Amino acid sequence: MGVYLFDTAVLRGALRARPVNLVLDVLRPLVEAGERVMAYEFQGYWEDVGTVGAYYRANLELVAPEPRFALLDPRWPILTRDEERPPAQFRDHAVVEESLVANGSRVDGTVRRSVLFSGVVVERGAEIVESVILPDVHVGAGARVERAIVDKYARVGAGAQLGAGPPVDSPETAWLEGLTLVGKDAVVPPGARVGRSVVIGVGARPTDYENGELPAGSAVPNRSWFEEAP
Amino acid sequence: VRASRYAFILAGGEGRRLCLLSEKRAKPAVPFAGKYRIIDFTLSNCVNSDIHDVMVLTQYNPRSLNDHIGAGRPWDLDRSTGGVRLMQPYISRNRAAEWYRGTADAVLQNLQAIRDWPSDTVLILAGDHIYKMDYQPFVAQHRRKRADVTIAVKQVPIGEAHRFGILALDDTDAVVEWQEKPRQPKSDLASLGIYVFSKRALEHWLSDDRPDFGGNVIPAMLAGGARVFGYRFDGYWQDVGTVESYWRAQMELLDDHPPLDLYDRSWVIHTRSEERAPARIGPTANVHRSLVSHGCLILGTVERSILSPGVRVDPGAVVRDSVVMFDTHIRAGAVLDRAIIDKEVSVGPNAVIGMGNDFTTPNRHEPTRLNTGITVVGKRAIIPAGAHIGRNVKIAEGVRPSDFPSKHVKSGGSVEPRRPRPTDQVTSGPIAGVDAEIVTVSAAGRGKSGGRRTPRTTSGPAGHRDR
Repeated sequence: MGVYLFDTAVLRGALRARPVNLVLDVLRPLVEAGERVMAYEFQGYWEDVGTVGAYYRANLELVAPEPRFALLDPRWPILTRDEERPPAQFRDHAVVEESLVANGSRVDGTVRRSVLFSGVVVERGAEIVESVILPDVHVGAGARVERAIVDKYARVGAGAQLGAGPPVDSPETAWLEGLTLVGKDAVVPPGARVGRSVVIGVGARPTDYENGELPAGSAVPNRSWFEEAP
Repeated sequence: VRASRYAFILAGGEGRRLCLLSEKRAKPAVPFAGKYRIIDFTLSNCVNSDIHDVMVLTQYNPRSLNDHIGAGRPWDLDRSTGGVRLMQPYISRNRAAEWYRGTADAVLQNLQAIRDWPSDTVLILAGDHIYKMDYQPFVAQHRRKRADVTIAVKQVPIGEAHRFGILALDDTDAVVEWQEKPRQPKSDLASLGIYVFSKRALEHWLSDDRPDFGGNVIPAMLAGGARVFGYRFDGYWQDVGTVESYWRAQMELLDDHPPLDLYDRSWVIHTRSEERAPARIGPTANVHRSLVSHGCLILGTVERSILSPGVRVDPGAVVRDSVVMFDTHIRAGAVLDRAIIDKEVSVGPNAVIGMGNDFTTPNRHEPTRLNTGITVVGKRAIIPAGAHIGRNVKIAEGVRPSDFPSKHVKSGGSVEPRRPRPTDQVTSGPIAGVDAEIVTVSAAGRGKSGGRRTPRTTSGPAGHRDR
């Protein structure tokens, strides 16, 4: 798990050799030298979330019927730096099932098996399915977001479709595991068609889309805010 | 002279008309809009208006306010200079030991603090109103007019004018007439109970025989030729002093474009908020037209309702047109309809609160406070499984299933504890604060401990039937 408890004297001794890697240069020599290196077997929930797929699955597991990880456990609250936001608002057309909805969100569309961070706006008729939506993302009316991770402040225009269509089978996009990523501050223009395994770079602009379309497996590069529009 | 950075917030109000909700907490500490307390709006107005020296004057049940405000961290008022201070009535040598006798008396007894403030103006605010107001234009007008006092006013429907202090202004906005709760109002401009005072005027006009701003100080200033002006405010402002207005103001938050926009990032309402996970909406949930706070677990139906943090709605339960406070648990199959449920209440399976179509039979014990069809349940009450509770019913704090002689409580009835609990405290002594009604309350005594300890479940007039 990469979690260790050291005897201070032993650690001090090991660090004298200026090790670079804790496992290769400290632990392995200790084991080889026959020091008392013991294991502690942990039975509880533990996830590394080091890949896009693992991050996505760990999030979606929280909305499964019996999540292994109890976020609502009052005896073990997970503390964070939180902005002050009002309660989540559910409007007349809201249909929300098996989802987490953080404060400051306003929902007038459909949300299924998804995680909405704070301040997310889902306009009427929009649909979010099996997705992770980070803070202050705006999803316009009638848009559909499926199997996507959408980063902070991104704006999905009205009627846009994300993560639709068949998956691609290419080694370059295998790391996406069929997911579509939308970078921070990126804009998806109204009515755009974005396939699966697409990466929309940070700060992407409407001019980055050809005919409003991004085929499965394609990518838009990152844009800095001070860059001139392409 | 730089802009005023100093304010008094009068937070001693008892808010008797809020019935159970303010029985054990001061009115400014009553929860509002899910995660907030009423005083959060005034405190947030202060910091958003760049006012960072705030003195909160408390008196009635101050513990809830002390816990909530603490050192002022959520409002960034935990400052090394200034910040928020909570002041309770105190005794001192050469001074009669007594409670605040009114709004002006509360300020008078803390006048020493004003003398130390290096500012020529002081804001005097009420801690029990819901509104968003930038105080700087208010203070700026006060300076421009070289006023002794400037009173914030707002147009109200002329039919409601008799509930307020009513002002008539001339074309320079000088106050030419002041009527306190008039039968025949001469204008529709109501005082909001919010003032900017020049420090010198405050020191001059406050005295032992003028305990109340609206009732004594302002009339004396007008009679004495002081420069009294009105400041016209046309934004959202609500007193939420009655059960009905408290409920209605929260229902208005459910509009697509509510008159009070909580989501405005340029005017954030701050509060003390526990860390909790995002609201979890389960597979069997239906949530429409509602506010749902963090830490909620929703497996049933929620419509047109406001849920505070940590509320649980089990499968098959229905919450409709209701306000449900912190950590209350609505069990499977229970129904809430037009109810205000205080915190940590347990509503048993298949219980119904707000049953029948009789919205008009008033509560027998509080006919002036519970008469619009809203049923109120006090803190930590346990509602037994299958109970049928009508409208305008009052369920006291902490009642247990054994306190219910019958599972049917008719509209207009009440349920009280059979035996006094160790936590019951009989408060005594005169009470004063921002509510004008308090003056009469203290004169008449509270008279509250007499009946409420006797075992009873009561209902409306005989012969009345819930349908």
